[in-house]
Amino acid sequence: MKLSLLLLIALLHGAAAHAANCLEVEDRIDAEVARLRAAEDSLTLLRRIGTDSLAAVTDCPSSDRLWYLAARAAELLELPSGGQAFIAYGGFKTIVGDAEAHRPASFAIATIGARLDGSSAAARRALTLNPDYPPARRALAFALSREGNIEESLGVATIQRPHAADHLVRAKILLAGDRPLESEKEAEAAIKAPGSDPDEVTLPIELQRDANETLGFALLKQGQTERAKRAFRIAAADGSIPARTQMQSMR
Amino acid sequence: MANFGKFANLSPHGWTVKTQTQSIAIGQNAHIGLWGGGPAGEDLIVAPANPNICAVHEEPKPAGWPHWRHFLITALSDGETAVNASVKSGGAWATMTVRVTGRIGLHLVFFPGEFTDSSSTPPVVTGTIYAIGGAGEHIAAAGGRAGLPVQGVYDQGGHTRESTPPGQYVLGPKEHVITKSWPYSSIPWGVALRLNSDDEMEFEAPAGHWTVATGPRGSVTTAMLTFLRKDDPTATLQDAIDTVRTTCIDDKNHKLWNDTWKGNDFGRWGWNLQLNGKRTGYYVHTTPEDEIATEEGKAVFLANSHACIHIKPAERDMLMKAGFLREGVPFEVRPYSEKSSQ
Repeated sequence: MKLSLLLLIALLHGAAAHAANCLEVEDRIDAEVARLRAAEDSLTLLRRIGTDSLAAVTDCPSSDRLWYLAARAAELLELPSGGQAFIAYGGFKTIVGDAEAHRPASFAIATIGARLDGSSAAARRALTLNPDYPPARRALAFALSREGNIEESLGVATIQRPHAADHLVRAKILLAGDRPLESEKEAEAAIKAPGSDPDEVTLPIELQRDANETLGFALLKQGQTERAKRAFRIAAADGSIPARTQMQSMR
Repeated sequence: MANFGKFANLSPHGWTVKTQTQSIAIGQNAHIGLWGGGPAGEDLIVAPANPNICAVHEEPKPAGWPHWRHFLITALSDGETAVNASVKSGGAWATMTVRVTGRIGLHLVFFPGEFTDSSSTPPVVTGTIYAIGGAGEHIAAAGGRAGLPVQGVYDQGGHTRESTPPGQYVLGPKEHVITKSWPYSSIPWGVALRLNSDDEMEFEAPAGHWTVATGPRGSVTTAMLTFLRKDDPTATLQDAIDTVRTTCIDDKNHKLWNDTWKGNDFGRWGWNLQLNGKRTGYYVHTTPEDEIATEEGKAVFLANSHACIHIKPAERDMLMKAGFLREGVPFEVRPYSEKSSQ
């Protein structure tokens, strides 16, 4: 009896120390995430954040934060690295799948999963986990517009204090709803206000690329070819394949 | 079927048709054409047998000259080498000789657009810095992204991303780059750090002089606030304080994350690219991630910069040791249109 009690105390002590270590690892990686906000070479720093997080979840499989950072880094680097950044860990889809399996109640991870899935059903599941999480709401709005529910998606995407990411989602929805003039204004608002997203780890280049791509198509629909070309050129240089394809067809 | 030769208005200077030999003074360039292709009409790979003697880059395809391709040969060091036009399996379908002669002071030439990794989006474009007048030293490097408008594309914090402009620069002195425009680069690389009695981080530069970096009056906080307000005029001092503090201080354990500064965006050393005797906004430098990866023996990844020239720490050290990375060394940046055919 006495031995069992001692063993239990030892186990509990070990578990507490382990949890404390995991919190310290989270804090150390979050120090790098904070640096990401003003880093000159954000891609390489993000790769390090992802690699460190993936290494850490082996010892800390119950950490929402580490799984989120691993999945988010994989999501953000999927295009810039041609899917190679975390191939040693199975790549983006595998990492998101692992993160969802380990932390099914994490709204941040579910939101990444929803963006990967693309359906409004997946986005609704993420939003149910936290109805106040803006990225989940954006994922739902965008998914609804892709499914043709423009008015409903605009309703979901309308908020009082929009961030650049909210402007971008509205620009995409309005473009899909064949309202290019309004789309142009929202895309320009996104380009002019590129401050970092308070709710998600982001890369400025991603927002600039998508906003310029959307702006280009909005301008093209209005017959403003020269302005569209300039927007496409910026988006293409930042990696937009639709913009690059469009530029080639305009030659 | 293929052969080297001069077409259009390519200068015949130094070219001997009979021996298919191009003589070039060290540090100079020569242009050569390649007519034809491989057995299935495919483009041949054109490369020197000895890359220490010369470098070969392909220029854009010449308009109005079907079946011709245009190459630039850059003489790197004294000697002679074959330049082969080969199929992928290695068989040479055309061969010429390059003879490099003469002497020249050390200088560096950067071809930023040699290689394009199209599997990544946007494509990562990397090149090589060639040392001329040495023993054929060359290192990998990445400039700004290719194809950006001349005025650049807005990024964040008041910075733009640009393609590195071609030109004849001169290296400035080796320096620990410091600039307030990138908040974490306002502290020199490698300086000592300490927590003061107010629980704020201080850094030592110059020796014996300590400056507060974090907190409401911290130098990095001030730089961060300016940086954030470039994009969001409503950014608060508290936001800047929190961001910088999280980066620098482990609050739970009341200690610094590091006792020396390794967050400077320009890495350990940088060299300004000077133009007509004046400093420009462009540097040759490493990145903090690559410095740390090198220290830890991990892989190093060259990423395109905002317009500076990124190099790898180990290769920087090699080029420093060889005497090329130092003040006064001419540094030429070539156009992105000159590609490797490999």
